[in-house]
Amino acid sequence: MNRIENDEQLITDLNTGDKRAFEAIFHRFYTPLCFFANRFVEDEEAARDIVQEIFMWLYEKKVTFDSLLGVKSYLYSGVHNKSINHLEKKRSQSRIREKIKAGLSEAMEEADEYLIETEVFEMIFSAIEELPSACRQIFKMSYIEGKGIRDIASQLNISEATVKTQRQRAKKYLRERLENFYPMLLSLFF
Amino acid sequence: MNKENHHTIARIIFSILWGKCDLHDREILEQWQSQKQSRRFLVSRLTQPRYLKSGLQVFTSFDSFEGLDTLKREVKRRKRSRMISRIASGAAVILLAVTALLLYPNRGLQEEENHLLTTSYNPGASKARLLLPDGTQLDLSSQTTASQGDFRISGYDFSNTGEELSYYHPADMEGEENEINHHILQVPRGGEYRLVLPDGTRVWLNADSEIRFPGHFRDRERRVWLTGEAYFEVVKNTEQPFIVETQNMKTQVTGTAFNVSAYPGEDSHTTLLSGGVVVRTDDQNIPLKPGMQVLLTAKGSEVHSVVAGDFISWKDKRFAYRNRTFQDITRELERWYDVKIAIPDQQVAQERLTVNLPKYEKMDKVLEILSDIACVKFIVTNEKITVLPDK
Repeated sequence: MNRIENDEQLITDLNTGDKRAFEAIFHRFYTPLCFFANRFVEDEEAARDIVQEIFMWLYEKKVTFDSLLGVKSYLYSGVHNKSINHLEKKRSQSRIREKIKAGLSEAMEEADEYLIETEVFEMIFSAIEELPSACRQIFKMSYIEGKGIRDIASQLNISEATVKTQRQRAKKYLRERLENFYPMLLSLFF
Repeated sequence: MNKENHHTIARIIFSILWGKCDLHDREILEQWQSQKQSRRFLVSRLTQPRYLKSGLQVFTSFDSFEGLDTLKREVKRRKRSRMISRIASGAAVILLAVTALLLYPNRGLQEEENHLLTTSYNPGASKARLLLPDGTQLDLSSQTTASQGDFRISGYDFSNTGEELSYYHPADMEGEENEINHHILQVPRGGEYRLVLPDGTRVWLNADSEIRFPGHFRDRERRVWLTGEAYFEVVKNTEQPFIVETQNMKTQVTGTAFNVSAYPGEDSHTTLLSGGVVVRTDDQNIPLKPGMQVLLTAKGSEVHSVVAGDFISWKDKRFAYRNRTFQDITRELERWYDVKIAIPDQQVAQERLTVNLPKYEKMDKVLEILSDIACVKFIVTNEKITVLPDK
């Protein structure tokens, strides 16, 4: 999930149907799109299905884009529409009634807010991704998934001592590189 | 509010988490928040450690590598199903082969086509479950030889062939009193079974159906309860009328052959083949003659003249449809193949077809026939089948 790709080159390649470019776009947007859909439908499986369908459209419809922002708009508005559709199909009566009462502008406002949430989580996630790979995985398993040292050691087939060392490294790295972010992360995970 | 502004607000919130938020940005954020209460709530949620932690857990559970794998599999599946529908609607030579399939199920061709679809749904088979009043459960199927044969359970004598369960007339059960609990025979989706009731009445049960009946018919009436679909050949007994009760209809007979279809969420119907019945709904008593059908829709009851044999073809080896909607046809296929079929296009769903489908073939065979006749294509996944117009 490296952002070394030059964005313009990526779009040109995507427009010519380059598989590698499609996959790069997929990796870039898949997780935040699922998170976004999930805020609407509150069903992780359904969120994955919705996002998959949108990417199928992208894959099959051969739309051309002139910028990365254009791709992002296409994907997010597609997911937004499909999520609302899903809610209507599921006949979540109370939610629909709420939305209808609130009116169209409220619906757009809700979408805006979910979009902002999604972007904030993306940013936090990117910060964690900047950790060196070995300690990043252990950091995630420790502090996001909440796994114990013993579990991590057996799952990754390494010693408990190694797990402890890597956790220390992660903390040290965060302390040095992400200075001011560190106190916030600390309060998140400790 | 366009995308750029989303990003600006998100960046400002993130910088608060970072601890590096300048005055100018704070002003922008305050101005934005002050416009709506929900925005204030948003900002306070996003600066709360507990909320962020659980949100991150959800966020990280969506793995893009897994997602890409799933997508690739779906792409392959669609390519294969497109190949199938092109074969069915293609050149004259191939059309001949499909017609031959309709008349003579050709096992050789079936072998070949199985390679083309990774997901191939199997047709149903004889299977059912019997629930006795004392709580005993019996699994009956053509596959389990253990349940086949003659036996006595919980005081009742049965004979099971793997396709049909028969009750012996319980001549020696006089002592039994107040039998309030009934016997229940359940046929799952993808199943079918035959039952011979204690009075000798024969019942064919279709997929996703259930019949409830007493262990022996003692009352003034022989009454059974049905959900789903069954065909009855009732033993004549004018002193003890036979009544089939469903959610919306009661069908009363003295001795006769008829088909009752009462699936939840669908229009119920009773079709008479021979003899005579009276169908009672909430507000009407409708007598039927052979070849007539009562159809209960949301608007009320209608009586039609039909080719009665069509409506019992399911109990033999075929599904015969005469001018029935695509929707009705796929509902039956859903129950028999235990699969979900979605028809997003209303025009396709309401299209009427006349077609005769083999019951015991794998589903791809049936889909081929349908895609040829109805000009549609099928997209097959592990979860469901979607029907789209094929222009």
